[in-house]
Amino acid sequence: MTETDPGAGSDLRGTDARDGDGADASAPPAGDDDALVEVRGLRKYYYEDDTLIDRLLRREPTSIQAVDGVDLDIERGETLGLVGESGCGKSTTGETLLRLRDATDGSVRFDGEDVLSMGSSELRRFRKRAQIVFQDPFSSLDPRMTVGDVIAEGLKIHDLPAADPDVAVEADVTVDGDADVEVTVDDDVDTAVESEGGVARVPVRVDATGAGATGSADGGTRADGGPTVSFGRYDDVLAAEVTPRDGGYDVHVSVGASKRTLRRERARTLLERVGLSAGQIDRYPHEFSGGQRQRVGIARALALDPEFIVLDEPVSALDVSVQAQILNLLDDLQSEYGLTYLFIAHDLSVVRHICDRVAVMYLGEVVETGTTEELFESPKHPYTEALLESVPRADTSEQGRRVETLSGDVPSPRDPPSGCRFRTRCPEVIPPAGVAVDQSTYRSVMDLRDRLRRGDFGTGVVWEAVGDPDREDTEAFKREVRAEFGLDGLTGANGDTVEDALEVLANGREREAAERLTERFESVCETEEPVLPDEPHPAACHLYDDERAAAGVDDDADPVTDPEFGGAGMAAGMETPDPEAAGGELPDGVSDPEHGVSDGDSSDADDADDHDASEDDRDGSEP
Amino acid sequence: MADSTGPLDRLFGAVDRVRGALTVSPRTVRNLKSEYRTSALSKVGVALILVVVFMAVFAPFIAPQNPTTQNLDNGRLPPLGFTQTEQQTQTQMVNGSIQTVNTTETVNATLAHPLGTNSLGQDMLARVIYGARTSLLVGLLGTSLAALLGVSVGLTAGYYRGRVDDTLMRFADVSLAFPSLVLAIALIGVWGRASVSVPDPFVVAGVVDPVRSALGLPTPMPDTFVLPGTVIVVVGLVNWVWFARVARGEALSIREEEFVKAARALGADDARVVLRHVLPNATTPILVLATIQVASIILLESSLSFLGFSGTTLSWGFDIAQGRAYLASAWWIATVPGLAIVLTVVGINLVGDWLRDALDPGIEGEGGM
Amino acid sequence: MSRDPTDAEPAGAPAGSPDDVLRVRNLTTRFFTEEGQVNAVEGVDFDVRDGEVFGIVGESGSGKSVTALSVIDLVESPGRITDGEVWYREPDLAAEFEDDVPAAVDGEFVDVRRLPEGVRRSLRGPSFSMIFQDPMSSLNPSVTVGEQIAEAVEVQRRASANPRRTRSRTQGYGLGRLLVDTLVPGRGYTSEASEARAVELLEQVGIPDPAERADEYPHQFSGGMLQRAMVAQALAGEPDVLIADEPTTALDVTIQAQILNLLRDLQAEQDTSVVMITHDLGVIARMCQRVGVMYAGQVVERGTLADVFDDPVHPYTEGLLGSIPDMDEPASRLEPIEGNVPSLLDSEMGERCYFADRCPKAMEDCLRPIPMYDAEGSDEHETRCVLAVEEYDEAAALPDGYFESEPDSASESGSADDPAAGEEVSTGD
Repeated sequence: MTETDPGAGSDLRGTDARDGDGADASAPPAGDDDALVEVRGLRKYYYEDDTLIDRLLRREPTSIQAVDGVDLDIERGETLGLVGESGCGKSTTGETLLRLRDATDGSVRFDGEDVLSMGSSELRRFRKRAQIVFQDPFSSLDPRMTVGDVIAEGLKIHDLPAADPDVAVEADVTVDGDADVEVTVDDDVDTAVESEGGVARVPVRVDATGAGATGSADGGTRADGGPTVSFGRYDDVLAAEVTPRDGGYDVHVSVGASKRTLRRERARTLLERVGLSAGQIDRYPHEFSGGQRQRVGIARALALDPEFIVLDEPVSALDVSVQAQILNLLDDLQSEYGLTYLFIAHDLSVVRHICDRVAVMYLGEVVETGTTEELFESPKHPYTEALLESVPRADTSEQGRRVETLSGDVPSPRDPPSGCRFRTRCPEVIPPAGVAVDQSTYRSVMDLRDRLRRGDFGTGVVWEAVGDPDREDTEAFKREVRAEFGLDGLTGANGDTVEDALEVLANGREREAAERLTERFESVCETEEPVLPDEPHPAACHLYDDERAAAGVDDDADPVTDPEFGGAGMAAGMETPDPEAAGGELPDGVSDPEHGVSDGDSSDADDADDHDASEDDRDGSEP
Repeated sequence: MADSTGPLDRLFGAVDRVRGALTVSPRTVRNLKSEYRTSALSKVGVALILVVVFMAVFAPFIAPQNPTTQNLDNGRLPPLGFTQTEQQTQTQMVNGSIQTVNTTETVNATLAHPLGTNSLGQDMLARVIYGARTSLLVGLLGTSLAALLGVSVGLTAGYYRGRVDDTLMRFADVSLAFPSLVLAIALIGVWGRASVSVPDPFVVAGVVDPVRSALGLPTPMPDTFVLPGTVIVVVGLVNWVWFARVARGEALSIREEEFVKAARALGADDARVVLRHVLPNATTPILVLATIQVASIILLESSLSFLGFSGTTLSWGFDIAQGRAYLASAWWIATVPGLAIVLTVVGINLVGDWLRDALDPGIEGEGGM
Repeated sequence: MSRDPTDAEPAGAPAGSPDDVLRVRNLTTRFFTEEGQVNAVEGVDFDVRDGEVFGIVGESGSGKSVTALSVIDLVESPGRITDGEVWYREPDLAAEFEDDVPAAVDGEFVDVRRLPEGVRRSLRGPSFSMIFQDPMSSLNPSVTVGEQIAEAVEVQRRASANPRRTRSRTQGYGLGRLLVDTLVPGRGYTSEASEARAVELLEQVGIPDPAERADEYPHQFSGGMLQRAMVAQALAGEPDVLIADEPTTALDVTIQAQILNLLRDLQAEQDTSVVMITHDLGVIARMCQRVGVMYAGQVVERGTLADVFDDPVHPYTEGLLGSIPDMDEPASRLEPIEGNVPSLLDSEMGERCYFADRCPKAMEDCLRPIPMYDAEGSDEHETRCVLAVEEYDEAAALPDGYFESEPDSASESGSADDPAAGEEVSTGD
């Protein structure tokens, strides 16, 4: 099967939605201090080259580790920002934790329940509580549906509105004129009336002044010869039955509209709530501008009254002025409904504006997390620093500012760097003790070593450049390589090692040259994958190893990952019934459809990467 | 055609009003209109189709004769405006020796048979009019069957991808490898030539005879109509692959749209996603393909009838086969139905082109400014 | 397009700074679509000086990209440049056309729009060149990167081999030539010299192993690398004016910073003038000395960076600046401009300030076309807003909802409903 959740089985439709509803509301969160969403060791791998021919040839599929061991905690009511460059796996993380893609490994707990192992009815309930808003306002709305249908779709799927047994129904009765009126209200009126704090208040206005007169101006229900009853804004959806009795009337209020009408009413309300007009309910998405479509997307997410919304780059496709409108709207909705957001973005100024805490991702891993203030004011990880440095500020002081840029591109996710994934671009790679060279020369040596190790150095090209096809003039060869890689600044033992290695290289022994260089120049950043420590403002970077060692940070005192949960989480991840979970182990890539990297997946996959040492290391270090 | 309110404009007006229900965007309607106005060919196509549809529906009223009535005395009458000189060669035994006697006989066209008659004296015009029924019904029902099958398979394969896709599409590719006519003949060979007699609703309602009498046309007309059941099933089975391929391609791309992800996030099951989101957005190319398929199925039906594999004798293809023997002496017997096929197929293809140009998915669905 | 140059009234080059390399006046481009006439660019004026970076900033639909295309004459059907002059300082060209097309020449300046089609085309590359937003679709996927750059070099080489005869630079590439090139191996449009130059250019824009990368196809390049290659291609002609249309929008910030540094270095090195078109005020701030703000096809405010960023007069400029979250001093709430960018359909554009319907300070005086006024600040500072010449007067303010009662021909786009609704809701609850 595909990535579609097996959960939404049609057998369940309509039968236990109501019960489900009740269960949701009756299972209040265990405590306010634990996170609403806890992600542990989340991995999502894609496999490519999984064609028929590959399978016939029993070729190992190349894995692309889009998300590799991500841990996140999202507290109730907060906005957690997830930032990183395109391809770092941030969107994949968002979709995987909602189970829109199947995780390869790891665990996701939502309000204490393990999302990845949910059965179909649990998943169905989860879908009501966790929603998503997408980036592209043009592809995220079905062009063939009116916005009203788009917004009401979730309600229709869950056969809502349904009466909630936990919501009490009360009538706010106003009587005009002199009459003794007794009002009774059906239990299921809460399907039509908005509830607040567990009570649905029905505004009932009984106009007894004209009792006996015929017709009423306000279109309210008029019983024969009796008083007129109106419900304010609920006039269209409620009905009243008036029975005269001794000295007064009995008024019985019930739902007077079909579910379809109620859903439409809800869609109207939501349209207005997100800043559109209810009159636009029958328009098609193409009749709206980008910002308006994004509002519709938000209304769709709100329709099911979720607690948690993944906002996947909700404003990056919008113009700045419209972007600000949407950010303000998201802000308002959060405080109004007490929503929890996971805000995925690449625009740091937006993140700074809206997020309470931020996690920075690079190549499928979280490299730093902290409160927005901490992270922006005192970034720890060199990557975070570089990101912040790179953003152009809209201020005159920005003029002519020269940014120290990161070198090169994000490495290929198929062949990620060993150790710290950021080391190939890092301006602060740590040289081994005793090797004192400046950063740029050290980087040059590392680049040379990486090239040699990957085997794409191309000795021939150098000889060509030297103009010595017979490969005799080793001095010229060395000069050429030194010039190309900028190795001239090396002296002493460092210089000797390089001299030595180049000599070997000139003789065509690339591997040996690489070994000689590595022996002297290998950095801790290459050999050891840095781990995100358990501290208030952690950064996965070796620069802080000493600091931490000095402070005597003790792994036991780790409030976030309690070992029991970690174990349970992993186990749960393993026993996920989904075949996907095991997908990683299918060596010949037996066509598990999920893993064929085809159009859609590859875009995300393009980018991620890597190596699983980190998770194991982390687990190992915890107890 | 003037820009003011022609019948088609009124039709478009109606479409405009109900577009909400049809989920046709105003842009689509606008494109249809402007394509229609600017392209003379699409007008020709629409006109041809309307004529054929009219003939098929009202056949009992407009056919000048009963198409099945034989009159051997009137065999091989030429169409109006033509005279036929028939040279008959008779071999006689005269005085113990064999002699060949040539007699020349001139046959004139009659108004009762404007397009002439076939060798059995059946009226060609009536046969063409009734043949339109067979062709259109087989074309439409066959295409519907093919579309139903193909779209189901294609959407399933495209939506689920992976092994499901591989299996289904490999199967489709294999079916595609057989020439359709050969495959159809093989299937008919296995299943026989079943046909269904459908009562003609107009005749059953008893409205045909009075009208015809009033118009001075001969009665009675055939009260049943023979639908070549096997042929419909067979052409459907032969042509589903095209629909499967198109639907699969659409499903593959639509399933990656964010609105599909959004529906799944809302808890929609696969059936809902496919039927409510994927299928409606795939209709345009499927519709365009369907028009073209109707034409190709009509051709296939004619070929089968020509080869004698159909279950009905009231078919353009059957008539061509009948006329083949007389091509030299009575060219119209094969030519008239042949022309009918050509005009119908050309008409349908022109309409298909019009739809394709107007519904180009590249134009559709883009938002305003 | 094929207007007869001799018919044009002799106007002469407009006044401006002596450093100007380009003076654009009253540039007007319209698109004739099925929905109606779209006024994408409406009387745009700006100057570009020697060796400066001039910024044009605006939101989508403001006409900034069409302005760029209009300047280098690349507007395609259904669009058409309907009016305007593009004066370009090029003494050689001026001398050449002084006699043939006197109306197009004034001193060292030439009105490019009055020159014959072939000449205008020959200016692309050696005189004007452009970098586009999406490098992936701007390079031909089936030709190696090196060859594409070499082609641009070749154009320049042929042009400079015959500098005085602009008309001979038609660079025709006919079918015959194509056949020969395809059939005879190793015989391309490009020469070995231009291929070598291409490698040099790739190195110049910071692509490692340029010789190897030159033989690769665009899909083998990352986004940042492709944008570098595009820059190399644009620089191949050593253009006087480089137009960069959202050159970094598709890139990540760290790569964006690389490309911006690169552009600045190259610009300083070659003394090229750059027109930087973007929606990102940060990029403008980092790169540009002078800025024009566009809204609904018009330049609404223009001046030095300090004029526009520190003392904006036009409420749109203010709104734009207020919409951006400040990364260093975050405010608790943004102050967005309500509503949406107008449709630009001619039938929906009234005779008024186009921003009035979204403007918090709209007054009765705004209900007429607004000319450019001088504003405080430097001499350069001008704005298309009455607030430059009068104070905001509550008494003359337009009542709320004034524009909603306008004939709602905009209903299709739904834009009319939004501002009011947005306002009401965001404060109401």
